[in-house]
Amino acid sequence: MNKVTTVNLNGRAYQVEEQAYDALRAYLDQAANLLADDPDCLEIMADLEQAIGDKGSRCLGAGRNVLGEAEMKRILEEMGPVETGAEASGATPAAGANAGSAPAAARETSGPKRLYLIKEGAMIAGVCNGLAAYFNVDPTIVRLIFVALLILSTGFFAIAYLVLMFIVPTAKTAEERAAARGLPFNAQELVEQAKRHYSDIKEKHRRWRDNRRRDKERTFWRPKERHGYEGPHSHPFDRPQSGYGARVAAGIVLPLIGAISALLTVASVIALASLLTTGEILGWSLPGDVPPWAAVVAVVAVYAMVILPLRAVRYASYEALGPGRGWFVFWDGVLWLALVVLAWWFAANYVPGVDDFFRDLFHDWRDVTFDVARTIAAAG
Amino acid sequence: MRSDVKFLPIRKGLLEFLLLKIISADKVYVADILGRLEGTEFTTQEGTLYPLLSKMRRENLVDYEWQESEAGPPRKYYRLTAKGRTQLTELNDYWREINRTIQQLER
Repeated sequence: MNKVTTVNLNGRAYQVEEQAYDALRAYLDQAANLLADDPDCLEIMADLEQAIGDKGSRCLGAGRNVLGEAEMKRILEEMGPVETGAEASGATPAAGANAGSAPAAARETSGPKRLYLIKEGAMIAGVCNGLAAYFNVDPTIVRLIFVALLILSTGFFAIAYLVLMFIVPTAKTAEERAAARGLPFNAQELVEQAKRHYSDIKEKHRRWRDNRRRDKERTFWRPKERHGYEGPHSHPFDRPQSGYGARVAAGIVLPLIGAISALLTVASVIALASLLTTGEILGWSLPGDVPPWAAVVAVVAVYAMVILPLRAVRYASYEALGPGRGWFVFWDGVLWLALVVLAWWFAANYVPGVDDFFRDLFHDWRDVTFDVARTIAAAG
Repeated sequence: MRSDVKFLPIRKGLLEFLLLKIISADKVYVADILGRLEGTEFTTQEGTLYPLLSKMRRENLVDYEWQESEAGPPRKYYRLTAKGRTQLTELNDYWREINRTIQQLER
């Protein structure tokens, strides 16, 4: 099952699968980029859109009304790479020889490339997948390298994976998926730039003549997204997506807060334990006039005071992560539990008295339950 | 089509000449042009053709008009301008001259 998006190709609507949309958008953006200096940029874009639409129409019909990824790739292959007018007419050998490399260079410099987690086809969280897209290699190669490093470092490299998993944002929109591969994504700018060329008076006149004809057809490629079923209360696109930086920050802050609050929780429990058994908190004994219950209340109050702002920051970070953060909340919880267990194990092994206290507590608890049971039995 | 990179500039340089030839024969739209070139040394794709035609239109060699099609949206039909015809004649002469030179050198 694939999500379907509706696109407007030169005034006609087509339904395409999401991957097909990504491919189409990458192609058109690249075309718009290459044609940026062409005075007829908009017109050529409209021509290209129409040609793609015509080819698409030929694939459809007879019960099929959605263009898939394979079909779109074939159509775009048929269209061929966009070559600018200056290049195609390159009469001198030098211009001709350079022609091949010029679009490649333009492709590399256009659009920011960012590291994202990519869930589509991911094995675990999409870290290797994202790295593969970033470095433009096969994900299998990245995974093999990762497994090799994991074995060589006797498992230590898993931490690197976990860190990336939490820090790197997930590519959720088509734009982000394209940015993960470094494809250009500044169509809007190019439209603005192309519009400036309209100032040419002669061109204006000609366009006016054409526009009368094609007024309705000519709409520069403006995709309209439509989503599959997402449940009655899910409107992820109502909420503006936070920036890449904010999401990276949230990715760093959340595990840190998880670690701090886990340590705090364990420290408080240990402090309470030692307070009840020895009347001391980590080697510091209470002044004579302070009753133990007051010390317990004080420890709980301090714990609550520190944990509350941490929790506030944590919720703020969840917000920054935007839609689809449920997955993150889950892993954050898992991380917190793991850290509690780790701190517990450390305390039980290295802090004197803690281990004994809990063994005693367990025995006391068993005695209490036995007493209660015996009382109930006697009453019955 | 020969895939040798050295032949690429020759094809690119001649494509405009060929377009003038095709358009001079009849009013054509892009799919016609692609069809005429398909299977030849000059097999071309939309990605190349549209920008080139648009450049030739700016140079006033060709012009187009909209014509309704029986299926789908209206199409752009291209035809040569007076300047385009002059250029085609010049190019035809030039091409003959080049061929003559090549044949002379072969002797």
